[in-house]
Amino acid sequence: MNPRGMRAVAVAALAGLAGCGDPAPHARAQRIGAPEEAIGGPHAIGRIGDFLLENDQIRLVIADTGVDPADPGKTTNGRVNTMFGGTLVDADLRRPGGDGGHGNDQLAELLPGFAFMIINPTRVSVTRDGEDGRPAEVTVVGTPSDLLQQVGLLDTGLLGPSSLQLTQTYRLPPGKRYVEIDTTIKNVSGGARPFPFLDPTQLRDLGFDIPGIDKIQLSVPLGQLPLLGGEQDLFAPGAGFNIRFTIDHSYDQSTGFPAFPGLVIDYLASRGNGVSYGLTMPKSPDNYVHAYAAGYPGQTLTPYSMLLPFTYAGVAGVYMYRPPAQLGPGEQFTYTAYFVIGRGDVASVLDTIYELHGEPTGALGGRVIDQQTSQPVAGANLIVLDAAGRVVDQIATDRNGSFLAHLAPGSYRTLAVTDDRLATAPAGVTIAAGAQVGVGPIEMAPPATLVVSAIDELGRHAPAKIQLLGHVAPADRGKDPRTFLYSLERGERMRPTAFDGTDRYVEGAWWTVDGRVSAAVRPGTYDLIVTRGPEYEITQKTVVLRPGAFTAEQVALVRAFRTDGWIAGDFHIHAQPSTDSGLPIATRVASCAAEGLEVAVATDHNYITDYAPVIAATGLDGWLLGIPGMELTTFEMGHFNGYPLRVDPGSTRGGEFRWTGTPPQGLFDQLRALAIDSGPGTARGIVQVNHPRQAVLGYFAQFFVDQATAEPYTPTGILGIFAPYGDEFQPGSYSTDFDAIEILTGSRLEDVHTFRAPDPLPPGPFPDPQPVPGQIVVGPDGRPSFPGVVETWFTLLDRGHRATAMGVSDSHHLLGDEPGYARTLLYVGAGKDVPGGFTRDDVIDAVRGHRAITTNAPFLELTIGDARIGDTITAPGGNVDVDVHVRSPSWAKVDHLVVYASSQIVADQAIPASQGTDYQTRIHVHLAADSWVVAEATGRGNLFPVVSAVEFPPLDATVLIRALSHGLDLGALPLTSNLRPSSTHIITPYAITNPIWIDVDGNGWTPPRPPLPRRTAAGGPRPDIRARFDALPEISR
Amino acid sequence: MTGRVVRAFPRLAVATALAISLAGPPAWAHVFPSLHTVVVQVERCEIAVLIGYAAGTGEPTERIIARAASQPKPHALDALRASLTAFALAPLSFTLDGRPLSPSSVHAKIGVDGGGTRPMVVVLATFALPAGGELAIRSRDPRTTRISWQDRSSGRIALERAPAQDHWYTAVASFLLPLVPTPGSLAPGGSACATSGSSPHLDSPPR
Repeated sequence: MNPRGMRAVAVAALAGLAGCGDPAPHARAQRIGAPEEAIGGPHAIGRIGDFLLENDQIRLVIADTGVDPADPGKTTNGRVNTMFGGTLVDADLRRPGGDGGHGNDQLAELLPGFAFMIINPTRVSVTRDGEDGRPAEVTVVGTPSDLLQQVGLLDTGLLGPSSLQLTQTYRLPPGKRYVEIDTTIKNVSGGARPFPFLDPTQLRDLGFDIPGIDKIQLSVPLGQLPLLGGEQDLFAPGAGFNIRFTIDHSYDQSTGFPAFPGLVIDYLASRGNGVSYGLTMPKSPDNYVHAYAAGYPGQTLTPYSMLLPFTYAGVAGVYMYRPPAQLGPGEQFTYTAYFVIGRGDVASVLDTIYELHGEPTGALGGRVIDQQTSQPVAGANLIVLDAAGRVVDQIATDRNGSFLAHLAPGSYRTLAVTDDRLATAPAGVTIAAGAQVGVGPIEMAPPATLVVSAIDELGRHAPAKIQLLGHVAPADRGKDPRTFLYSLERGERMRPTAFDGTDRYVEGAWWTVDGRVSAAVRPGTYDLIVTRGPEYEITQKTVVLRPGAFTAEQVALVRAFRTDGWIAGDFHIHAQPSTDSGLPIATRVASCAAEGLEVAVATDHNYITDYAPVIAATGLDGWLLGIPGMELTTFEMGHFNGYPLRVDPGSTRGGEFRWTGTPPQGLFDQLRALAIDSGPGTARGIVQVNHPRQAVLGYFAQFFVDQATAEPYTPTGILGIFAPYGDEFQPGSYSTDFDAIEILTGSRLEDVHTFRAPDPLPPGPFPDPQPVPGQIVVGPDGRPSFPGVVETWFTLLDRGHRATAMGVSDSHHLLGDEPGYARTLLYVGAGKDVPGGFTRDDVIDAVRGHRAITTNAPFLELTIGDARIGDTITAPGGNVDVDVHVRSPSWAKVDHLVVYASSQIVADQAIPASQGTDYQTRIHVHLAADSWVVAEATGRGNLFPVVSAVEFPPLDATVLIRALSHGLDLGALPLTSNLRPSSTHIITPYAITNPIWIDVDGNGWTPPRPPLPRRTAAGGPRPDIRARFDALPEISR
Repeated sequence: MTGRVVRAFPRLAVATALAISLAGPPAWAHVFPSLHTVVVQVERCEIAVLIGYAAGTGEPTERIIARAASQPKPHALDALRASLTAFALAPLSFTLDGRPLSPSSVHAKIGVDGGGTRPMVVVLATFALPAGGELAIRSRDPRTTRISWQDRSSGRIALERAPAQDHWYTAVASFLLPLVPTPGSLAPGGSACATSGSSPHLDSPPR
């Protein structure tokens, strides 16, 4: 193409991609007075009373304080994702037809971060309405508060929470696609405020008594905490879309304090469907990274450098500034950030960032087409590499295959990437300031087209999962798949490998509503795999897919075993309403049905969702029952599912609730009050404790529940330093008023049983007491360092608390995070386990009646005579014959069976290899007292490709702790010790039953151990302290 | 002496769960010998202050017990209450624009911690709150003091400038609450606050 032609393409592309905003620049701020004034979209939570800030290009919502002025004790905190109101919660482009609440907001939240403190707002107001033609403003005023109590002591040392006034002003100029954010810290005390507030010695004296603390020099990072939402892929120049692992790598380069470790980035951006976001800062002498530049060897620093020390639980920390060494009385410090909104790709965000930075640019335009048909390739990603080969930009093609973006002058290489085609070879391009460069057309090799039709054993087009399994070249076996199989930097999809030394990986997977799929895929030779959950075998055949060719296959599913009277449910799954899941509900319900689930309980984070309308719309109502529910998600008290819940259509979260500062009983009471069947004389909703032993996110972990007593204790030593401090976390606030407990959550097999030291031990050193191979790893207080969920549940049973054991997936996505693994099998009655044969009440009754099996594949039945799981029987004399029958598909063979009676092992059997899919045994047990019996079956095989392995450590609290640990000796903290359960592993077969309770003495069942004390700590705001004092008992002489 | 405490307190048969939850240590407080926990409740005309004090396991406890033990047996409990109350109030001062405030009433209840080894007290003190600019709660021992506050529909506090309510502030030597300059109830024409008198009512005066 000649230069004129290229320019024409570029101009046409420019016209096509130009903003669709109101042509008259203006800006305004107002309080939202009607629902149609809100933005709308997948994550929109703005509502009447919040603040709308909009111009001719973009729209934003800042939440009100969340406090009801008429009743300060009653708040709606919990609506936003973090602790308080006053944060930026919705953001979108202004788009034709997008008014009236029909926008495309995908932002979860953005708020200022003062180290790990945030604003607790006291007032949000319009400070400039924009009617004068100047920028419009909304200002939030408040005081500091801990984002995480667990690092509250560090917050105190860095910032000191009292006598500071914090202000965040959102300023929107007319005609711009960014909002300027000014954040101010004001010293309102009568004396000087140093930063850090305490020196390390004072911090140690305050209780932060960690080896090495007095030798380090601290610093105070200030910035913003964006939660860009589950649909958004984070991007930073250099790291590309591989933010998470690049942060991990940056820790290894860190030199320690005073520089907080982390990744130095020039800007933060994202990629999403129709909208994208970005964050940057201006040049400043107070730039944090430059102030501590020696702490970031090997990283590229620019005048706009920001620090990204962590992304955790959807929150990214973006630190930009350091405050002055001290603020005198009445003095203040203000810093500025820019939040940018793009069209869905990184490039449209970067265009605005260039404008903000005042950098010269040139334009790059072109078109991507199919090599064979010359048809445009829509939705392709043009990845831009700098001279060093680092990913610096991503440009999406529009429906015509066209693209246009701006780049700083320089030499680049570009390549086109899609998920269903081979990437193009990188091609060089040089950008000059003010010039327009047209490239292309870029020709991509065509994909293959695969059409599959599957039927079940009855000839039905049943929901099924269809996968293509590839095999890596012999030369690549054993290599990290990120280095040859896919590129996270370039935004390619992860392709899970078997992670067991074999050459298998999943090229693609489709969860179908009717066993049929037609998909474009990368050409190659694959194994076609069709499955339908554990009740079916794997159906497999080899297919050769050629570029541009069409291949059709028909397959039949083969049933592995029957489960008469039992249904399969997943009682913990997420979809689009969760801020950390971008999965459309239609895709979620299809995935559940395709994995052979018959019940799907919607449990989005702090959002009550009902799948029923989508299940009906996708024709799955004959296969899947949806139950509305919610995962009540606290920041550090744990997560709790409630179901079935009422959906309140008038609420932007499907219902109103509060979790901030609320003790457990308050959370449980709220979930039950939201239940569909709540009311006098009726059964109430189920409260389920989720992933109870997961650090930070698990109830038992956060309350330090001792597995030996099932009661909380106050931690000492380093555990105490990182323990939450609020009243709601006092042991007296702990409540066992829950109905169910997750025994196996997704792939977290390492949480199931108490951790024992491996033999041989890994390289040390280890904190005292020294571990013994094969023995339980304990801390200085003699308690297990990594207590198991099963052992804690057994203690609860011993003490008379009948919480139903559950298996759940906690799936947020699909491939690599499949729904239904684990799952709960429920007995609903003979003949009722057919589509339409059981009701929601049957499901809830089965949970409440403990008629449940936790499993990721094996079907494990336990009976004593006619008694089933969940029954209580009388056995005078204590002699019982326990029958166990375990069946499993051939891809999930079991090889080990254990039977427990009141926490004691009464049978431990190896299962012969020839009976790994069908094993029956009878065990005679003599019980001296009232007891309970549970069976557990395991295998050692890899459930891949039905269930993906955990190839990389999941993001959890260790990320945050690691970010804080450089220069400190945190080896005594279990999370960071050299001896802890591996979180990367294959998934192996596991199943455990709920008990059969046995009354030996015939006078009713009595717990083998003293019952748990009843705690009835009330939720809600603090009562009048005079009343509290009056309620204290007087001393008796 | 500590051993005597352990033997003496079970007879008191106190189940002060609320006191323990109020005055109980934060998770890291095992390093502190004692702890002052202060909750300030601001009302229209008064402030009510709930102070939890848990004695340390060392010298303070021994001194408190020694004082109580030196009293005639019928008065030992009152002596113990008085001593603990004095220890609870000792490091704290309350001022309005620099002028000291005197308590209009002081009530105290004593108990032991969860382990039955450390004496503790919960003190309810009230102070009249005249018009002013800034209420200050100061501690001479900030290392062992944590302060929280709550507004009870007082209309007296400039909330936008005040520290967050229901939040524990640790290591605070000077805790400041900005007052509304002329609250409606105290302005001319507003309903007057009843005064509690200048002498505090002490149901268990420190000795």
